[in-house]
Amino acid sequence: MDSQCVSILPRVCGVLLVSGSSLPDDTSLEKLLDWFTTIAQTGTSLLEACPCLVDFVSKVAFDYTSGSSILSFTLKLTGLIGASEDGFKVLKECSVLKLVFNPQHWQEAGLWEDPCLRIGWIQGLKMILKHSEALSFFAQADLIEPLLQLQTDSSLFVASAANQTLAQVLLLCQSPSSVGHNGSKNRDLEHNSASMETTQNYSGIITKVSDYLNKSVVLKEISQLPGSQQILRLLAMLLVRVGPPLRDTLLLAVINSLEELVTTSCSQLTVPLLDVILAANSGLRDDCVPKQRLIRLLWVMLNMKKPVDVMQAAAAVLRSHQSDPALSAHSARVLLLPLDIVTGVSLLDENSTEEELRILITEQLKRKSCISMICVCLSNIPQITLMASDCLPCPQRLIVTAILLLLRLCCVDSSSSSAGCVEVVRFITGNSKVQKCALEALLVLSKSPGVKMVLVEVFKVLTEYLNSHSSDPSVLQKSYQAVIKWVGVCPDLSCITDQLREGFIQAVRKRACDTRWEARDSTVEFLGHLVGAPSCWAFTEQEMEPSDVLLGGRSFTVPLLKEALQDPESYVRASSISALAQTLTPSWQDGTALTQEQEDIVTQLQEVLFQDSEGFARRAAVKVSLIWTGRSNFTPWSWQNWCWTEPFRILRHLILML
Amino acid sequence: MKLYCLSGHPTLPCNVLKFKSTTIMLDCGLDTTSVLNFLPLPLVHRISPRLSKLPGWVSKDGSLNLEKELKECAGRVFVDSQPEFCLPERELLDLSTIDVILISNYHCMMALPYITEHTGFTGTVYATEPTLQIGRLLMEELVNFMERVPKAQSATCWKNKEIQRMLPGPLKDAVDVWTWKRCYSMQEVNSALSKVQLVGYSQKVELFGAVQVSPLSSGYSLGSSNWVIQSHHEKVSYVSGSSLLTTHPQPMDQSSLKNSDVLILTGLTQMPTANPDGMLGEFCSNLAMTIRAGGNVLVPCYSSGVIYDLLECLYQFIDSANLGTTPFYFISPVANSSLEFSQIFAEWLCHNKQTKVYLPEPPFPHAELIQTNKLKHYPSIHGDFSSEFRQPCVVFTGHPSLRFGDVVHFMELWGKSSLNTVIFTEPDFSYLDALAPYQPLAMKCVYCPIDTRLNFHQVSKLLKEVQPLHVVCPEQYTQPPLTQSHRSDLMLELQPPPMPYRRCSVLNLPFRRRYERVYILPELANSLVPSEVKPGVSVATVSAVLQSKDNKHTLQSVPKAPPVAPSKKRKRVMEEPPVTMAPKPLLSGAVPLEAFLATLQKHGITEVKVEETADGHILHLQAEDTLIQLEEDGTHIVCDNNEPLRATLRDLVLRFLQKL
Repeated sequence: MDSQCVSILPRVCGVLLVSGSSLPDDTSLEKLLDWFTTIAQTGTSLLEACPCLVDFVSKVAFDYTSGSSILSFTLKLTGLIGASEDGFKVLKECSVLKLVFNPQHWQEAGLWEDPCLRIGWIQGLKMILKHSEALSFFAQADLIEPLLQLQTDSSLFVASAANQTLAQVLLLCQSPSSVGHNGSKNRDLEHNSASMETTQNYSGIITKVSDYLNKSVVLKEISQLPGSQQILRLLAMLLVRVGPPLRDTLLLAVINSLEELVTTSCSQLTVPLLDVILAANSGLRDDCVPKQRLIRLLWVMLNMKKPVDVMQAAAAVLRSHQSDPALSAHSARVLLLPLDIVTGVSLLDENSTEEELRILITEQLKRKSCISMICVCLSNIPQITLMASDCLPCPQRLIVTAILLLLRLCCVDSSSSSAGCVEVVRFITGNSKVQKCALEALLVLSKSPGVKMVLVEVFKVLTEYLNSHSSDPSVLQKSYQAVIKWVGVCPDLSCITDQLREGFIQAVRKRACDTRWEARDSTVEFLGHLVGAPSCWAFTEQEMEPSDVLLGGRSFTVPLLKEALQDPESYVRASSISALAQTLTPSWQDGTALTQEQEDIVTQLQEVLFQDSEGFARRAAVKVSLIWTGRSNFTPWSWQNWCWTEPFRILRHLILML
Repeated sequence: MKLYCLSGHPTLPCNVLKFKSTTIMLDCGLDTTSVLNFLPLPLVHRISPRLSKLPGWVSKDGSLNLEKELKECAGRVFVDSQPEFCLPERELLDLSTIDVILISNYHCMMALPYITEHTGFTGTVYATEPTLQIGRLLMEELVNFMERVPKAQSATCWKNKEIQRMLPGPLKDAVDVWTWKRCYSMQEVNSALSKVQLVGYSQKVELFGAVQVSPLSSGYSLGSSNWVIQSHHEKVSYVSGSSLLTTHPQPMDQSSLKNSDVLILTGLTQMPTANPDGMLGEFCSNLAMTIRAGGNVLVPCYSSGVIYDLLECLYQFIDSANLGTTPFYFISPVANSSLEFSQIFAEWLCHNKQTKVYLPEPPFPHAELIQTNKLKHYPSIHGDFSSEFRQPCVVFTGHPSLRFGDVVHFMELWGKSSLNTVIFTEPDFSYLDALAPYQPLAMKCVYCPIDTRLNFHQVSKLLKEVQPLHVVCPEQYTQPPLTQSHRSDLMLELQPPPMPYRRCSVLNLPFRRRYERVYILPELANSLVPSEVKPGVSVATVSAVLQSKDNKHTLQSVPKAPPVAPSKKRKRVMEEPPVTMAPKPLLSGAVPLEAFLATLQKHGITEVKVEETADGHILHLQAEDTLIQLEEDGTHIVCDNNEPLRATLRDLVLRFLQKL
């Protein structure tokens, strides 16, 4: 097929040359470029495979009448050809390279204004920058200036590609010993002997980049905000990707500006600024000076005036797993503050340094924006649980208690009150976002030490949520997940009394009849997942399956699942098939005759396979059949009989073909 | 302007507004929660011997024996008598002085016969047509429930203050039990309803020329209204039982409530934490759960209102929940009329349902349920129903208090089995209190109150939108519910704070009437000579006769005195026409200080000490020992014993003023 394509390529190029700006759709050009890329990736020389391309590139470069999409395509194609040293040489010899990558050439033609051309230029340049020859060309042609200008281009695509390209340039510039900060090596930098010298030759580029970053980081007026954000993103990327000597150079160049920027307290820059600081911080030794300065910067950010910014800073510090224990401990305290204030559960001891922040956060919590603040707090609980216990401000059990109280406050039906901030209740009651975040945190906390003693409370709250008329289906799903998780880690369920169990059964039974299919689906899924939970101790002090302890076993589950097989929603039918398989498979012992009930279920599954109009349900039935037929010792005999029927053979054949 | 509050119940209001010489009663809701203190009225004694065998109550020390009047059941004491209702207050003002009664919805008119009959009421009742017709059905049903199982005994001893004090709660705490009354008769209902005059939305009704009243759609039930009561310069809005949810009635008209001086706010949801959609979901899932397990479902409900929405919801749910073969029964003496009325009031329905009528299709899908025999309705459990009855089934029947009506029969029939479920959907009664005389009860109880009326969040948005100057509301809305004292969002927080009322409050509404519209006859207008005091503003003096009749005020020309006929007789003093003095010219303008001082100087008054005051200036003419006070709205010359000087000064002042 390739040879046929190659044979018609000159004609295609001819058509493209005369098409001018009449090309209605440039996706064909993208496809063409993809094809060239595939050829190049196979190791074949693109010019050898398609010799007509040089001529095409030369003609387009001198012809201003081509449409912007053709020009952009040509620039990218030039980059692709020049990515190999041979191709680069050919392009250089026929003077195409200098012309194509000279921005002035396009500016004079009045085409540089078109972002389509600029993106072609930048992507072409990025492709070509794969070897030292290309870097030399880049340096000699002084392309660093236009590249730096494009860093804050009005087109986000251009700016982003320019960021990437600049990072590529710097990677090429750095010495081989430092390459592969992440263990990766650039192909070209295998020429070890030449590299050090090369690095020195390109110190001019590094200086220009450093100066540029230093100047651009500082926010002089608010209109420069998007540019400043872009530069910070670039800086964060560079600090992650480049190796130590160059990274140190860049860091030293910008650290003063970063310190200045932190003091501006511009909320929109908090996140990108944190990314830069944390990227810079991650690879530094603890005793080096920049590290101390960065830690200081983080402290400054953790003491900003706006509680939202402080919370973001604390969350970023915890996510970065950086090594300063005092910083982590303080961040954890900051993140737990909203939970402490809302619930009134004393998670933090008295600390005068946090008093001001406590006042600010309390004020913030009286507004509607409290939701996002509480969610930030809750979504970082997993990071807090990972911390060493001596860094934690309180035992994890206390955090579970606070989250349970928060969940109660959020529940519409609950009459619980707290000793905490009363004003917040109006915003969080019935708020499914907070409910989901709190349930997510509860999921994580199931593994915490010493929390098993609150299992009954957890179970009560989860039952309350499953019972509540106002629970969103997604909240119900999370509640079910939490039940599975807690049951899975608590082998002793003896504390679940009959009364609790009855309440839970009622809730599950009700949700199986819910008017919302999502709720029914989650219920059916839960019934299946509960079978997979490890054995536990029941209040009768016998070892039992959790589904037996919580729901009374198969006599409860199977009728509900059978009912769900008739559900009008195909997702629910599919889930019920899977859940039935999970429920029944373990009980079907090898060689044991099936009960009438089991026979009926097999027949029902067969009916689904033959008659169900929806793919989900049929697919689930096929999956179950494959599991059963694959594990012959579990195959019920009626199923075995059916396995030899003609429809099944056809089905199996089709599945195998897939 | 005064408001007399005859009921403290927030959703069953009865208030009287005295406004511009009219006396307007706003709703007359009947508080039926009093019936919870009474024993249920069983329809079939054979089925419920339990109730007739309940032990009588004797005080612990044996000193008080009321075993004929009071019965004990599961630790609570009930009155064994015809149930009685708590009426609106009738002593606070003379009800015969009421000019009109404005009804906002059919639930808020149940006390009408108590007000219009036997009180000397001679006024008119205004209501929309669906309100009247469905209100009539509800009254008819109530009378029917009571009259078909008459109780000869009427318990009164327990009401004795001394005795009541010794009774156990909640009987002990019941208030004004002497004013409780038995249900009215059908004759009284007919007589009361004959006084109703029908009105349409936005129709303006003049009351004695003094005020205009107009009903606006409130979105709560068929024909439900809020009312605007306005004069030329004042506007009072009465908001009662409104809903912003999309259910079957016409949507609420909010914009017409704007710019009210006073907004009387009643009838908010009784279940502020229960979202109606969530409750509807709960209702369906509990219903399906029971039927699947082989049990019966009992839904105690009113025969109109939410039941239409419940049936619509079930119409969609029946097939998806595989309930296609389950029979649904609606049992009420007015079941048939209620279902049919709902289909004919097309103009009062929401847009979607209105358009169905033109297709033509019945607006409510319960027509299809009836056609396909999935829903069957009967006037009572007697007759056809007993031969058709099939279980498991779903029964909708009244009364939601569980004290009378066919529901009593089903409670006794199904109460013993845990397979059955009673689902409460009406929010008017505490379900635990309703169930008290049926204890011990094996059947499951589910509380899914569906109240579509405004919640606090919606009402605060509404008030922000319509911006009334003052809000008056039941005191219950000014504090969070007792059980959820931390929920500051479950109360009205307004600036200025709302004026709370309770039963028997008399509120002086906080605004004064400052203007009155006066008409001027053309010939009089023609005789006026306006003079311009500043660009665009002209004034004229008017001498006229003010005629006030039917609350309309008109200025007419002063009749000319008839020419005196020449007579030789000596005129009698009495016959002389009154001497009409030409009115003194009116002055306008201001006295400029500098110019006035210059004028004084010209007239030889040089020693003037000027003192600035809050309202203007005081000029002290020291040599003359005279004071001139120049203020914005007056000038005073204090000059003792020197009349020529005073006159001179007056003339000097007058030079600067314009005469009209």
